[in-house]
Amino acid sequence: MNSRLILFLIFLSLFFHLRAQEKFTIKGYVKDKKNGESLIGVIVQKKGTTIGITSNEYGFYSLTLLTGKYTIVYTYLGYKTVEKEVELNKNITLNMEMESSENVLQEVDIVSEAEDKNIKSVEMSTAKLEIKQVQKIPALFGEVDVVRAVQLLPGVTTVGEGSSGFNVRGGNVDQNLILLDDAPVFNSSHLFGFFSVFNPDAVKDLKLYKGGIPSQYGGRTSSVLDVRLKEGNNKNFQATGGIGTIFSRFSVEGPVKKEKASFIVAGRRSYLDVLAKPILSQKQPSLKNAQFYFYDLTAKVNYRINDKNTLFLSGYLGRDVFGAGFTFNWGNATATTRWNHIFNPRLFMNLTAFYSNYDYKILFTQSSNNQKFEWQANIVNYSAKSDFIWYASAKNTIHFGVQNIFYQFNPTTAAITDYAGNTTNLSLDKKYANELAAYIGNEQKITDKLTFEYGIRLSNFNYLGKTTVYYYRDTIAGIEKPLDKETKFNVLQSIKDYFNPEPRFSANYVLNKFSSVKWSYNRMAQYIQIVSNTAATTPLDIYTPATNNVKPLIADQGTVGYFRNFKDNTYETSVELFYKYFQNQLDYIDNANLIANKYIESQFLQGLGRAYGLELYIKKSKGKWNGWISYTLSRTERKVQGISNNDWFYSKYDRTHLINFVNTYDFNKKWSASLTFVFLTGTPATFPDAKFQIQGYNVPYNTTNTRNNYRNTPYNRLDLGLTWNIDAMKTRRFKNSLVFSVYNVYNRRNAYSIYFRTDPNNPNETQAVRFSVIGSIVPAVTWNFQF
Amino acid sequence: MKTLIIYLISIITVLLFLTACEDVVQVKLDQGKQLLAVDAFVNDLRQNQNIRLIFSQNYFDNSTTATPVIGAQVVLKDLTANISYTFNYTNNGNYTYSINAGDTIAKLGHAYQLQITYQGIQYVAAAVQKRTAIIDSISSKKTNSDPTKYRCTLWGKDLPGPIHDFYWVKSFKNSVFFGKTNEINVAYDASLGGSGDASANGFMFTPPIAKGITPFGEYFRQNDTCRVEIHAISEECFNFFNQIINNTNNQGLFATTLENAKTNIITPSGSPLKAVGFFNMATVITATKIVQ
Repeated sequence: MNSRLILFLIFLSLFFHLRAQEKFTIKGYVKDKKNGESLIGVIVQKKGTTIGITSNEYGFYSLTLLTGKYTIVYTYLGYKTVEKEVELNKNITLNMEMESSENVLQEVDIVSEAEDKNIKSVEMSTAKLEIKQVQKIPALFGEVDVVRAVQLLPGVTTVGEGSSGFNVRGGNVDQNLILLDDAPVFNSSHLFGFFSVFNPDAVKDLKLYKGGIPSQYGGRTSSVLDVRLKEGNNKNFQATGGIGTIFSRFSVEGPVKKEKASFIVAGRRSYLDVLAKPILSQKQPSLKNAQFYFYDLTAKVNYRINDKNTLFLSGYLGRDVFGAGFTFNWGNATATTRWNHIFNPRLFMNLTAFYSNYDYKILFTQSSNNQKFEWQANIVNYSAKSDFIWYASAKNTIHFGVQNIFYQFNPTTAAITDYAGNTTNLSLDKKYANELAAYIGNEQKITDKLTFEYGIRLSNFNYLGKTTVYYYRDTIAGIEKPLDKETKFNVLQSIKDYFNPEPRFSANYVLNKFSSVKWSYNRMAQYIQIVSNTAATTPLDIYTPATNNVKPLIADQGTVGYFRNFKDNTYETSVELFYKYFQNQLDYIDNANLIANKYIESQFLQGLGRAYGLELYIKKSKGKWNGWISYTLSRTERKVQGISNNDWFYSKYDRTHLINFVNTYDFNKKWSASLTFVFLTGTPATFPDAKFQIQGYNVPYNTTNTRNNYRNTPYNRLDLGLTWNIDAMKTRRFKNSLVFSVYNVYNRRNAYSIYFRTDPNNPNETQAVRFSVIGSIVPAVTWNFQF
Repeated sequence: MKTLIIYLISIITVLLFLTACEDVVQVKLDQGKQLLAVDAFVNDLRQNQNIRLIFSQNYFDNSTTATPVIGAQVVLKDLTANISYTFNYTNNGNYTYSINAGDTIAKLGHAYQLQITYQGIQYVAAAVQKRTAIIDSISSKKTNSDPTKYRCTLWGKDLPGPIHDFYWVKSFKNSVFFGKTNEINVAYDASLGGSGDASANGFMFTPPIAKGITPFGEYFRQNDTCRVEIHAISEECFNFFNQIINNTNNQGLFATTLENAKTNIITPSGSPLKAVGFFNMATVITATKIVQ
């Protein structure tokens, strides 16, 4: 441990020779003039130069320059550019309020300054979505959804409707670090992925990192989805809501103490079960009293103590509930508290403590007698972390920090009680682990044209007691490993620990005003993985830690890209190539028993993975017509000893082609429309090529033993949306709008899966059946309001 | 436990995806390599015992019946008593051992070996005959939605003890077996699953098993006969049946990758014809109920 600390200090000290002379700092927060929300990613620049900085996740910026007179320019997409004259002969605080350009004149493009952040920034393989933009693309049932919007980005796919989460550049669903105000969300879906847990009324913005992931993020190998909640309007009270086909939303925000403290509380509740009752009464009378709904509550308060200190408290609680002779429910709960402190004009600190829990419960009871089956599982995590940003000079911005996470895994708590009252406990031992990481990274302008971002994250994972540890003997790959011995470990006793240095590097070379070349490399280590052998991710999938039997997942990714803007940055385009290599990907022996099995690790296999591809992207973010077109060509494969003849095989989420076409058009202030089209190559699947009869059952058989040897039919879908801003022209406080939407316009039955069975009407014949989650057009109307 | 998941999922699928649908589709599949399928479920019921050998077919070969394997030697060896029983070819791939009245070749606790010789290659499989459960009775009850429909429940008990028991609960309506793959009712002690020493050992059969004798969507009418047979099976055979359930009811969200059901028939290495299927020796207990 000591040597690691020394290494960390050496890295830190490397930057201390960068001494400033006769320099002063301008610092401050950038906020929205209308509601006081902090603005993330505002470019703050010395006019006419490339010297500048972007505001951080809390809207803070700090820019150090030599003594002198300057014009500082604040640029932010969708906001009026602000120029400010400053005389810099001492450190100054300059809090800036920016005004949305939307309220000014939408017809005329007034964004004067060039929006060329994508060219100049060292970031690549990232996508930032403003909630305003997301709101224009209604997804299923006309509801705005941030994760569904993320799924429309290049390099991002899903295995189909009804699957939770998303896959980024050949990564499994569990390889995405989904953060809600810094707290990880373990299951981002309601109703099996149709809606995400993020209430759009409470979300400020989100950013997806697919590559070139900065050193402050770690713990997952494929992506980071950083979702930031609104702070709440600190000037006026405001209520926002909507009544839709599936659920209703309502949120309230306002100042607690004007300009000092504000809050937001947002809730949603679905009523699909109520609406479905008449249909069920006809179709499935036995299920007419079934319950199936979800709710969630998101809340946040912030208090600006003074110029140097701000406190935030945010939380999320959500649950999906199903019941029909049984109860099945699941949900996340997170709580985050943060303290922003400015030590000096150039040193910013954010201290975070969070709690995050995901659990599910299944309960069957017979009211007439004792019989009962209970089953639950959860993962809890407690964490504290500190993140520092040191604005060392105009050319060096240094991020560093430490994070500690304590995990508690409860794989199964279950019991069966029979008619006679006998009870058996099927529970498995809880597992514990601690993850400690330290990081440092520097964004350095080497020359006017060349920028580097480099850093390292050092992560340590310790699998801890109290638990029973199983040791297995090696055997032929692909069959269950025989148990060697069992050992009991005491509370917090270290069972196995892992250490991984994770280097990160990104570079940007600006070719000219409108084009640049970027390249990046990152290594990511992941110590917890989801155990599941289903095609889709379901609520039952729960994380398991790296142990004495399970090695941590390691992924290396290299990316190169060319970025070019056209027509005064009206069109942003990019071409990116990536290659990713995985080690220790979790897989399972054939016919593994992964449920409530204490010897589960005897069924695990670990293997290699690789993913590579090309992403083309054209985006237009100005004018009446907005949107993007993207094309992704990629391949994702795995190689695991014991599976598929020990050869490379397509992973279950491999999609050769992916086309996204996302369009919004503002006819005028009252009417806007959206059109979304997606095309994906069908997911790979294992099909049988032979059958035989055993005891009258037709048994399907794959004689090649090759996994994912076929593909389901391609997925494609067109959605349309139309928004009518009823009060757009009125100045009154109450505003309302109607969103009309049609999902799956041409009524395509996309195959979620194809399975093989005996014809129910003819036991001698076998057939293939396509299962489509959405088998019809889905029209919907949503009414939204604000006052 | 897998069947529980399938049950949960089928209901959730109905509930959640009111727009979901299933269509029979045409899929082009390659020709599979030919396999020797062994269907060897021998039991202690006092009736002729059959072992069926057929060749596998292409998956969509619905026009012809399976080709029988003719000319094989099929011998069942009781290793405990050191007796060999030869099964002779009768028809349709069946090799039969005719039982004398009151006799049985399947004896509790005995170890058996199945030897099949075909075209000079010997395929072997081993099994030990395990004990079966206790049946107290079968009850029947009118359904709430329709008083002319009845559902039957099995009142039975797993045998306690240090070892785990595995059962195949076969149910029949008027002598017709509920023979769909989603109707396969197999138990790990008295419930659907377990691991290590954690199971419903020595319990009354839990609802999924007990009520499973009337499969989902099925019912009995007054005066129908409900017959139940509980066959003792090996753990491998329990897994084999679960794999068939998985592979043929693989719809919806919880679909898993098709993984071949694991056989216990050993093919000598280098043999061009691979054997699949299963060999099990069962002790059987039966009960019958006239529904009213």
